[in-house]
Amino acid sequence: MLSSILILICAIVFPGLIAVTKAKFSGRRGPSVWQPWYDIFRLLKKGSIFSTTTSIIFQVAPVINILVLIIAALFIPFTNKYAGFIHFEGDFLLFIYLLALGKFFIIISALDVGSGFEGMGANREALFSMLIEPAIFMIMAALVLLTGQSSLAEMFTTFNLDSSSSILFVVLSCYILLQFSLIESSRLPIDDPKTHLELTMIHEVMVLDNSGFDMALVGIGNALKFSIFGGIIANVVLILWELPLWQEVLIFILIEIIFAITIGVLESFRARLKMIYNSQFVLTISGIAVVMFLMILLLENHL
Amino acid sequence: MAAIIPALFILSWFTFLFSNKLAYWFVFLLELALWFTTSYFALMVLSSGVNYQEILIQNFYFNPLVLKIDKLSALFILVINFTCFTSYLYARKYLEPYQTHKAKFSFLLHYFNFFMLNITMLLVVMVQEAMGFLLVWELMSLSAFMLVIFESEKPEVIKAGIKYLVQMHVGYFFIIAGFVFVYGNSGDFSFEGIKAMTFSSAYVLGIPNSFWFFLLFFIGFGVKAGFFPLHSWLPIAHPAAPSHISGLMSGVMIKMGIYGLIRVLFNFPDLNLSIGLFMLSISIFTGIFGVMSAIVQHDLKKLLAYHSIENIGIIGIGMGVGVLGTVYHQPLVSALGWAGALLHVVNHSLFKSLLFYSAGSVYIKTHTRDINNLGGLIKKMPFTAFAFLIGAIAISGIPPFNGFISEFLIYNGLFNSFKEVSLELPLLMLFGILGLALIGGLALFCFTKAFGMVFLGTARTPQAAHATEVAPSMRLAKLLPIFWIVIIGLLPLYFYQLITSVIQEKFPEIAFKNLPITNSLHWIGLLAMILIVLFIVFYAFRKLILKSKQVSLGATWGCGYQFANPATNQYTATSFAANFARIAKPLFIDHSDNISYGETEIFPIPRTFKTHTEDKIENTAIMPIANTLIIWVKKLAVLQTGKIQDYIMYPLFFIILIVLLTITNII
Repeated sequence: MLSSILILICAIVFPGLIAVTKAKFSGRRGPSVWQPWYDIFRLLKKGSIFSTTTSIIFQVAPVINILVLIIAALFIPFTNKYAGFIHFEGDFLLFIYLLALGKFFIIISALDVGSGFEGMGANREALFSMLIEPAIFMIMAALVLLTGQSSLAEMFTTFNLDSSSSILFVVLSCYILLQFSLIESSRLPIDDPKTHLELTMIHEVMVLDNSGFDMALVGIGNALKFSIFGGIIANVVLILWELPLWQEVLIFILIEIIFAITIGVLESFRARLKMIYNSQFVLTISGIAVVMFLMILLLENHL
Repeated sequence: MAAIIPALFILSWFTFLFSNKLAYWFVFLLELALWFTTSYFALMVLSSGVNYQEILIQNFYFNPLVLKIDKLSALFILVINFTCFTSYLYARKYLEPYQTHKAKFSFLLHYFNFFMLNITMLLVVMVQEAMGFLLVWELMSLSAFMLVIFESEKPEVIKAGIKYLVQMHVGYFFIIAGFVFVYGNSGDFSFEGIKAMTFSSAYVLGIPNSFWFFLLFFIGFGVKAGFFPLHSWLPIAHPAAPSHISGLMSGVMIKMGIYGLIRVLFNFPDLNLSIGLFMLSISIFTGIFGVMSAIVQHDLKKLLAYHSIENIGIIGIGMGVGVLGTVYHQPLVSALGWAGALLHVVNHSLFKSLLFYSAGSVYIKTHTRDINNLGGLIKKMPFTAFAFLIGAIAISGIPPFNGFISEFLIYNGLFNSFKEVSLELPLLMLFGILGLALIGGLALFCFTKAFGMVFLGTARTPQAAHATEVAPSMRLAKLLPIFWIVIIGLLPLYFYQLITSVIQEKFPEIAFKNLPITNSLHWIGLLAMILIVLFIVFYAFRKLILKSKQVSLGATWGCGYQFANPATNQYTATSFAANFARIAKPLFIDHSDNISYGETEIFPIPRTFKTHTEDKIENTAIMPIANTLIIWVKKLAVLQTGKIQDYIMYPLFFIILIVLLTITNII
């Protein structure tokens, strides 16, 4: 439960931190850290405008998306001290597939408005999330292999750093999770959220026709998604030390902040890939994940 | 039951005496009798402690026929009966538009064969002795053929039917060959005989003998199930058949192939690595190939047919895990694999029939199956859209519906293998996980496309714009599978117990009730309920908030351009699949029929542009073999002289040959 609360807290500062970092690196003073939330509150107060083409799907999708993310946040354990609110054998499978449910609805809601732009975004989102899916499965498979457990809470409890493969796992999975969260949230290098050309967008173009309350939900959802992945990374890093609770809480928050700043830094210095190369890039990340798993499998068997 | 089944066989012939309408209800009565008796026995076997029940039918082809209902048969009986029920319910209104231009007899024939298909499928899962099994298996293929060619005035339907018939018989010979081997080896001409078989340790081409024996059955049953590369009849026969038949065939008839394989594998005396490896690898390939082909399809029913291939792949992965778990002495891995496979059989029969019924509803109201010509149907056919959406979520393996549960079981089997320190098994299972993950992602891609293009956005053609909702009985036929899809999603523990009771006999050492997975399934069901309740609360809350706000309607954002045609400005199925098709290029042949402009063509004539994709596997692997075969068969046609004298001479020669061979002690 602790981690879910921490994730919610971190989600509040997350989008602001990214924006501030990016502003600083491009030499601007930048907005306040709270600016994204001012925007969201303003959106919550606003009325809505719906396209005449849309149906019930368009109304339902943002609600399902946010709901799924809230439930997903309940799965994340807090290092080896507290299990997630929901934990059972194979819980990570439900976690992954719940995120897929949210995605399914966001994609069809984009198709619901009947616009060429949003179709494009929907299509790209579906393609890239399909290609990245093996990566998260491989990270989980590696965890099962290393710990012999199959629930997120148990995995982090029984993880020990005795073997060299554990270090390998921590380093590589942090990298993969970072890239994974960038791809899942449609950030650079596959998509630039700042771009103003509909033809090159992925996530932003899918929500072009959302407004008011729904748009606010989408904004909250994005922040939450980042924060959840940050939480997993924090867990993976915190395996490295055994610390008192208050220090771990601090480090957890610190890692989330570093994660946000890293994204900001990456986005400041990275160029967006040509759309045509995106699938290659995404597949490479999945490939790295598979190689990581194979290396751990070999090391664990001491061949 | 011993009296009822022969009686129903005889009574079914009276169908031809009735008028069209009465015949429907007459067959319905026969079906009811059949459903109640067989389901009663099935439920009795499933709920009681006895492992099987035997019923004797005297004088069936001059021998007593033993109907043996064990728990596996019982499960299949329930699946068959339920799908037949919804399919028959759906058929009445679906066939109505055909009454204007089709003769009465073709309807009577259709109802009659529907009954035949139902009863023969039931017999297939009940008869374990080979002679009877082969007989009912053949009857099943034939009656399905008659059902497929309902619209026989269309040449492509007949062609599809013939293709189906030929491939079924190729498979049939392999099954016969398999049973002959069983008889030769164990002296028992039945499934039971496989148990008593002994294999020499000889290797053929470096692979154990028993694998080649298994391959006979795999080809025989695999053609029916649609395993790659034996799948090519599926995407052709399913679109050609009327939709309730597509739903029935895809939902349960192809599962008869799975049933056969399960029987063979359950009875197999020494499962070895090569069989497991083969099952797993071919299933992964089947699954990925099926879903990839589905994505590039624009024919809604063809798309669903390819998804059947994909789901056969998922079931096969479960079976492969089951075999490999046994080979590596990890009963838990094996049991979870089998349980997942069996539950997926049940699940697939539900959501695939549902999807085919929805596709059929779209077809009879718009007269097109081309996704690129549809759109915006959610406003015209809200219930059908809702049904398709439920089916789409379920088939993509997404919670809170049933598809997730069976995939969860298979995944659990796969991940459980990692808990033991070994290299080989995890390495093999890695491919299973990657395969399942990729299939899941691709299915999501495909069904967002199918649902989005058919039901959302703006209508792309006038037919789609003027569609109306289908009749209540057709809606009810969709509601029933939806009910079970949701129930399995919400109460997975009960269905887990049902499935495990089927395989308990095979895994006596595992206490399925105490496995940690029961706790997981309990949580999954609970979370599914919480998700649904929270959704309703959240949605009501959102409604309440929007009520106090100013809500207005407007046009879709068009980049500031106001005069775009909403119907043609949308993304199409082709464009949705375009970037994927580029990745999957090696698998498909992409055709675009367009005539380029001639140099001297000053005033261009009107022209059309069409794109379609072809199955490269069929064109490069199946057709060359078939074509070579045809060339050789044509050479044999010299025997076909058309003179009756010659035809009498051939048997004479044959008899003389047999006599000579016997005298010289050669045979």
